[in-house]
Amino acid sequence: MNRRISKRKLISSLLKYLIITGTLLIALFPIYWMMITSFKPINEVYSRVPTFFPQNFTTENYSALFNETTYLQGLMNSLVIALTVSLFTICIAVPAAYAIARLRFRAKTIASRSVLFTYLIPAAVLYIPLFVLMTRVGLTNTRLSLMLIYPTFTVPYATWILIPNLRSIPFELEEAALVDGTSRVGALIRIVVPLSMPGIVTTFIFSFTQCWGEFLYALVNISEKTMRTFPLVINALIWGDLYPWGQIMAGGIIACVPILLIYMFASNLLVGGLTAGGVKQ
Amino acid sequence: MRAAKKRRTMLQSESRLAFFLLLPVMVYLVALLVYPLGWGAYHSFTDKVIGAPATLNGLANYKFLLKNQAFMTSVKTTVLYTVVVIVLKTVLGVALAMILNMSFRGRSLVRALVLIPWTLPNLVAVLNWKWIFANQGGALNGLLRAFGLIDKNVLWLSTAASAFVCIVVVNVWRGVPFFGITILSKLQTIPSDLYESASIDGANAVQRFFHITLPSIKDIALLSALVSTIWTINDFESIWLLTGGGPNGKTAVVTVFSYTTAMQSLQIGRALAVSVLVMPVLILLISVVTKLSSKDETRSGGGTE
Repeated sequence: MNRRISKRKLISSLLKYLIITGTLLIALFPIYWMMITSFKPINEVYSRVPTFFPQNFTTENYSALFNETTYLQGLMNSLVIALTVSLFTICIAVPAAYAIARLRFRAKTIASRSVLFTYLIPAAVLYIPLFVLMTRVGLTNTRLSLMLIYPTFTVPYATWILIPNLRSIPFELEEAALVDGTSRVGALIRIVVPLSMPGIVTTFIFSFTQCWGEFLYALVNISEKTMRTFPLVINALIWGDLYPWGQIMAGGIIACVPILLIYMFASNLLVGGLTAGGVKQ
Repeated sequence: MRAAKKRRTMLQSESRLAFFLLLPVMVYLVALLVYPLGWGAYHSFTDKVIGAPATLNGLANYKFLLKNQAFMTSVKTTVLYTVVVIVLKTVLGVALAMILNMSFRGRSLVRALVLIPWTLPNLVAVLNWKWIFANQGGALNGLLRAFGLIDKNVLWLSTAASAFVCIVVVNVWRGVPFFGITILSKLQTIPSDLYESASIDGANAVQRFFHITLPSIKDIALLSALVSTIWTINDFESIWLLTGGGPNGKTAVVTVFSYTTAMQSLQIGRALAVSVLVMPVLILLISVVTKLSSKDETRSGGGTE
């Protein structure tokens, strides 16, 4: 009797670990494949029978990517754009979120709903008008064009996830400062902002990750080689009959590094924020 | 009397401050979101092409589109793609959440690892899969051959049916972790004694799932599905990068149709009409999501709760 129960338990726990292993395989095999491809020489990449362990480990894809394409420049462009946009986003989203979270005014509900509403308006609807606008003001092929466009999705999103964050700061702390004669703006800068720093940092990181791999707006507005962001540099490798998959995968791996580092070091912060914001895919 | 007056002036000053704090966001969004959308809606009634002034042409663009076979096919493809992808993501997302909610060693590590597909830049994920599907050297053909399931390489992206399966697989692979983690956050709030007392009352696993688990995750799963529907209808880059709309326009969803109309045929007015036609559906979806999300004004977690 006892033995039968323990046997059943064994089978069910075996099944459990089988399911978990299967899940991990499906989630991670493609990433493993990307990784090993990036370290294979070209003839192994295109060998008739694919190898699932690299036979001749090489870093030639990485050196080709950096020496023969504008990938480094692309990374720099993406970095500059994503950082500028995130900083700008925080600067205008924090005051707005503060107003919605902590001030009393009549249009409050409308304000908070329109923030979410604008966040959900997709790029596929906006990119043509924005492209024509950028053409008209002569900004296509500049980093500035993307710096102006990306806040259309980062600002509403940042405001939306900052509202509950700023609301959670105890009102008593702010009141105490107000009684001491600090102005409302002074209290915002000296009390509320420092206390909600974790939330603000998370929001900054999220804005950054949203801009980092953006493709459609960049594709439409940038054609100049030196202005390309990294997704455009990778995309430009897809050309001709035989794609340089080793280089493309190397580019992908490098582009993932900052994102994975962020998730590793800030995963606790981020999983909270992830469920908080109806995140964009 | 005096207190009431004082209170009123305080409210007034709060309103004024709120206005000034909201001003930068409002100015920005009007300039780069509201104005462009309005411009776009207006020019959908013109013959606008790039580099030339527009003249109004009434409903010509709309009439053209509704009679255009390629556009109507793209609508059908979009609907089919969206429905299949959303159903799969929801079902598999619930399954994933339940797997991640079991107790096992290394659970938090597994949770973090499973989330990785969703954190990749979309372009990277899509190109990675394009390479997996490749007929020359691709992993899928290699694996299937190694297991003896096929003896000749399949051209996955070259026939309509298999290309459709490919775009579905990529979207689902990347989207399920988001569904899973979101639903998991709700699963964790179900008290375990609920399950225990149900077991004592003789409810089996299936009954427990339908009477305890499902009712409590229903709302969050629905909200995730709706939000995801909005992004899926507007998914351009996955399909563009994976199939370019091919073979023969068979995977050309509405966004791909609008992109080729605007950027390759340079028919801006006509492409804008495509967006305007999609708008009612989007506005409906966005309104429902906004309403569901703001239902609880004291939302502790924010957005999707």
